[in-house]
Amino acid sequence: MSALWLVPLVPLLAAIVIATLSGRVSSPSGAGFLATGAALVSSAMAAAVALQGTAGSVLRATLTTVSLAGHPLTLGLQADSLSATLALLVAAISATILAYSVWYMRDEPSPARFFAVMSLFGAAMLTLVLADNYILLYVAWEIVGVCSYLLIGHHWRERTALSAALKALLVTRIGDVGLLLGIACLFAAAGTVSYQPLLTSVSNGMIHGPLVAAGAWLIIAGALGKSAQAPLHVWLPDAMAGPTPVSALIHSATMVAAGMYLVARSYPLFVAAPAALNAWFIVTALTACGAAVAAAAQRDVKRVLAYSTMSQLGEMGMAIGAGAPAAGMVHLVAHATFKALLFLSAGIATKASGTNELTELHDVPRIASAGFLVGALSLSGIPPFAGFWSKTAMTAGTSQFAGVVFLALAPVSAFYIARPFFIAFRRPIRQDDSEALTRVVPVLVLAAATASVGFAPALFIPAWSAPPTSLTAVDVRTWLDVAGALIGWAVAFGLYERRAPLLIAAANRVTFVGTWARSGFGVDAFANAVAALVRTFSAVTSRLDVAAFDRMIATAARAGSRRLSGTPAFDRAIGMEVLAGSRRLSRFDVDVFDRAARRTASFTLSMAGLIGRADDQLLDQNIERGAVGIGGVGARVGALQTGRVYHYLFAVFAWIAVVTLSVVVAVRVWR
Amino acid sequence: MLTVLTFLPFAAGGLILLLPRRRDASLRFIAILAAATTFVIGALLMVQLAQTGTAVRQQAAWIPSIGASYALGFDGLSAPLVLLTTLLGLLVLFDLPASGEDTKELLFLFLTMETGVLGVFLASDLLLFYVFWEVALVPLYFIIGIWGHEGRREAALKFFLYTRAGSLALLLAILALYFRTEPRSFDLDAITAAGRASGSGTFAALVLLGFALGFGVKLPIVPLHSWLPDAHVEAPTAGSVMLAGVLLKMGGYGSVRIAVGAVPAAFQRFAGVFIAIAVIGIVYGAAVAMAQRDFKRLVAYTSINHMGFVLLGATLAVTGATAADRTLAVNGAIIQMVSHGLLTGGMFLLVGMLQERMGTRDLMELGGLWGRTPVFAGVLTAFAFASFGLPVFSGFVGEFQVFVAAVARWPWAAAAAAFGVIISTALYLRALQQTLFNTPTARSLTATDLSVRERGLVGVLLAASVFIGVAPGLLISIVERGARTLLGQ
Amino acid sequence: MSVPLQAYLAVAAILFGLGVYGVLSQRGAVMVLMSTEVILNAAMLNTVAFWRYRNPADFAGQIFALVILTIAAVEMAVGLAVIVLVYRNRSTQMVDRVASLRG
Repeated sequence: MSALWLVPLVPLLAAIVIATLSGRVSSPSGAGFLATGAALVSSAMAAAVALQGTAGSVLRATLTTVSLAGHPLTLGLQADSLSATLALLVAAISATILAYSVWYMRDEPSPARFFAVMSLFGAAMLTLVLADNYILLYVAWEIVGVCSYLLIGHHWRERTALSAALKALLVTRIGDVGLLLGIACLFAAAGTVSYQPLLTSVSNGMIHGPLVAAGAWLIIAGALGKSAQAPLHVWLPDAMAGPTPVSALIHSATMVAAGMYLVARSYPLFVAAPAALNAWFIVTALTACGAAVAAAAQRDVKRVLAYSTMSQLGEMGMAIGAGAPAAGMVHLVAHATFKALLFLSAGIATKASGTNELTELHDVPRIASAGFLVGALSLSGIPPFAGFWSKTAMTAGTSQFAGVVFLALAPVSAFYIARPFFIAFRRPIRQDDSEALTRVVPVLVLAAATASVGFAPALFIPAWSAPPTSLTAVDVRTWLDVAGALIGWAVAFGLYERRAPLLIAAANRVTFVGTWARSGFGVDAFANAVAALVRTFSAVTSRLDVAAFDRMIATAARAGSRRLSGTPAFDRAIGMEVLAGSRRLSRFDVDVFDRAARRTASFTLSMAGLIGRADDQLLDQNIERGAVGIGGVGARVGALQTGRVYHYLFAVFAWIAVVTLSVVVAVRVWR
Repeated sequence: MLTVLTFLPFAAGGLILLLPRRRDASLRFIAILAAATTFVIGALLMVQLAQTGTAVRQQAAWIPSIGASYALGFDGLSAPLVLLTTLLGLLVLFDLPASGEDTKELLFLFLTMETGVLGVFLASDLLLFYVFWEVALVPLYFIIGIWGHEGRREAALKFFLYTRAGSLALLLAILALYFRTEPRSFDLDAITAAGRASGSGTFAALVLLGFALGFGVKLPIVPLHSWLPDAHVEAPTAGSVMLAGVLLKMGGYGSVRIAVGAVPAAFQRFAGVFIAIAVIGIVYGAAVAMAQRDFKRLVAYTSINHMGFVLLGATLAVTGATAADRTLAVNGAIIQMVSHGLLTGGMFLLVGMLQERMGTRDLMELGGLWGRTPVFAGVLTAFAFASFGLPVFSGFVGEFQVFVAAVARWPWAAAAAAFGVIISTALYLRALQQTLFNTPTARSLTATDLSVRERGLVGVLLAASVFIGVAPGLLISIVERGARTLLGQ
Repeated sequence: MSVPLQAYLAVAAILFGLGVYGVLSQRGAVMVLMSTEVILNAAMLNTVAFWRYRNPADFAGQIFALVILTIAAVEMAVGLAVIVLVYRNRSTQMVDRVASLRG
């Protein structure tokens, strides 16, 4: 089925063409249009594949077969409903965002490199979702990580971008190595890495044992890293240093969702390892809640969206962990549409104002304001937008406990997205100069998508799970969630729009939230213990001031925490203490996790230096001392050499005499 | 044909010695022609091996009275390494140090070294193996000692003494096995059979110790590694490339072919020790590399990290959980050796080019090359990513197989090795950022990008690595046949 | 009365002693070579005596004497060549002046 290969191949070709001809492409827009065109072609092919796929069949295309120790490894692509849907999503959103980038990258450096790497990313991401085996997935997984590194560090002259890129690649690599080990375990257990035979054998119970369980746990590690869930989440807020289209495409809609896709795809594996699944649920739930509270305290609009992504991914993870992977995937699709929309709108606003700070965003164009509003409504789960349908699916398909968590998250999510809307996007200006079409159209497309995508549930029915979305799934819990979201909107409205004194006074009473966040989570004590342990090791080993690495991450973390601490003017003016709690929580996140990561890094560097010096002093110098000693002995023995022939000859003759005498004596004695 | 393959470089070197000194260009041409011909022969033999699947052998009488024959063999285990040697042997001739009047001697030394290493990989007779082992060693001593950098005398001496000491242990082990063989013979198959028959008692353990010391110095393994950083730092670029790319593989090849082949029971008995040593090497090499300021020293320590995987694979070949795991371990070890040769050879070439332009190897004094020399920056980035095991490149193929072989029975070793991979990612990224980003220095503003010759050199190596990474099936099938024969499957 | 074997041995021993004395005490390189020649001839005399008195039928003794003769000749040639070179370089043939291999 060669058409399947064209889906990732076309963006790859575009990337190669842009990279090699970048000098000759007439303008940066040329590269941009080429990339967008390729993505559009890819989407068309993906749509064709998707339409064929939903009929229940699975399309396949095989690349190569490698025989490894008697186990044939067949690497290829497959398009079942899940893969086809995600492929279409990735391709379409890529096309939209690339079109937007043509406008955004007008006055940014190195646009050709940007579009080449974005196209490469698109190709890799499509391969990731279309792969039919774990090895091809892993290859694509790593390439996607490298593209993310290159794109976050696009403004490589800025220290923050560089350190953010390094942090992102390093933290996700920790997860990636876990994933690699997990794939190795699965291959060792089952003799194959292709999804279908492997997962079928696991479901049948033909393959079981510690290797399978280990595989499940290690896959979780990989997913945690890529999807920025605790404890491997520290890279995502800093990754916002990349250009906004990068944040939109990679760090909200697609790459970070790869972790969720992996877990959903491997779901039969987790059915066989329920302990791992429960742990997954707990971790993602905690991340969802913590990130939601943190998002409510951010000053930087992109960081709000970053923490929001973390929280939404946590919700996806919860859905998968609570037994409804299909619902999680539905939310993945919906989230991609509204999160990309939010980022693109925010990008228009930040370009116009030249800053990311919420309080300093003014002159926001109408299109950005409208886009942000639609995205925010969708995120909050207000009908009839896509978020409402996906939230319905998630609450319907999961357990009671998960439903309660979703319910608790609803007002918080609504609040954290309504807050920036009311602070910055509420009063747009009219811009009547003909703004670039490429700025407006993508936003409109995405708004339409997020508005309508809920009405096409047929596309989201993966063949291997019961359909979760339909009007009959809407029940009391759904309406409770909507009510919670409306409450969140109302609170935000009251606090930021109307400055209602009653609400402010009530907010000031709720300072105990801050205290609770600080101590009651329990993670606090544990995290402090871990940090103290690492600190002790650092103190014991000598401090080696190596590298910008330590300084870079410290700079980035300082820059990050600086944004959170202090009392800017509007806080003092409005006098809200309720934010202190959530601010403390996000500072806690930066302090504990980030500092732990920084300390781990500096500890590792110190250990490296220590080991290096130990190597030199213990081993190398001692050996050299031994060699010098031998040399000394040699010198002393060498003094016997006088250089005079007759001395040597005397020695020879003396020796002969001694030997002869001993022989004679020995013969005599023996006789 | 195998004899031609082995001795052509030496013959060319001898010819060069006899020619008058003045014609520098023609001397180099002869050397390059010989190396290229050797490479072509190796490639043709490889193709033949891939198609027919039977090993190529050559045998003649040498010293029959003690049972030493002139026996060469080209099979799945030695073929990739032979091809790697001929390739690197050809490429380094394009990046030789400035030699002025001594070009003849320099070319002769490099060609003799190539012959020695080829002989090591091809020998099927252990006395022949040992002779070639020593032959490969001596030219490098002179190359480092004469054409190296500031501390070259000490580094060359250290290198020589360390390897010599190990070689003596190796000789003792070979002789011990020789005296156990009935009838007395140095033939590899006969000695292997005798070794297997001796079980895992004290005798086998002592033989294993001799092999461990001899091959361990070359690999290198951690307590015996102190010669490596100094030798690499002080050697000229071409010398470092041959040292890292080819000579280290002698230790790995010996471990797989001879240690695994001859004393598997003893190896299995002490497997835990060797696995610990291998894992320590992986983590230690990466950890110390991260603390280096000298870029060349950093790459030298990463060699310890990569070769740790080779030792891990060699050990898993006797102690893997299933037969498939053991085969994968041998596959992984051989492919990792080839990959390391390509990638680290390329890294040393790049560091050499960097030093020529920037006048320093100190990471603290580099910076800002991303904007100035995009081709160099791109290639360096590619090699760095490849070196920490990114898929699409060859490093992933070897490491993945070793991991699969390890998880079933030695999961903690696999976990520790994975930790080493994480550290190596950090160290390469740091080196990249130091070199390419950061604030540009005065010299980096005037640095020139790679010339055509330089692009060709690193491009060939990168292309080879990508080929193995993307289409490993061909190489795996060749190696696996050799692995099965070795493991008796 | 035939000469007893011991007579030959004694002469050879005396010659050997004279030769050793000469090697150890002479300062001129040529004199050292001459003394070495005397030692070799003493050994050859010993060989021939033993052959003649103990086992005259076996020609191995004669062959051994010829070997010693050849070795002496070769050694003399090489030694004289070395002395000439040393003299050319150092303008002396006194052995205690040529001590540059001093340890």
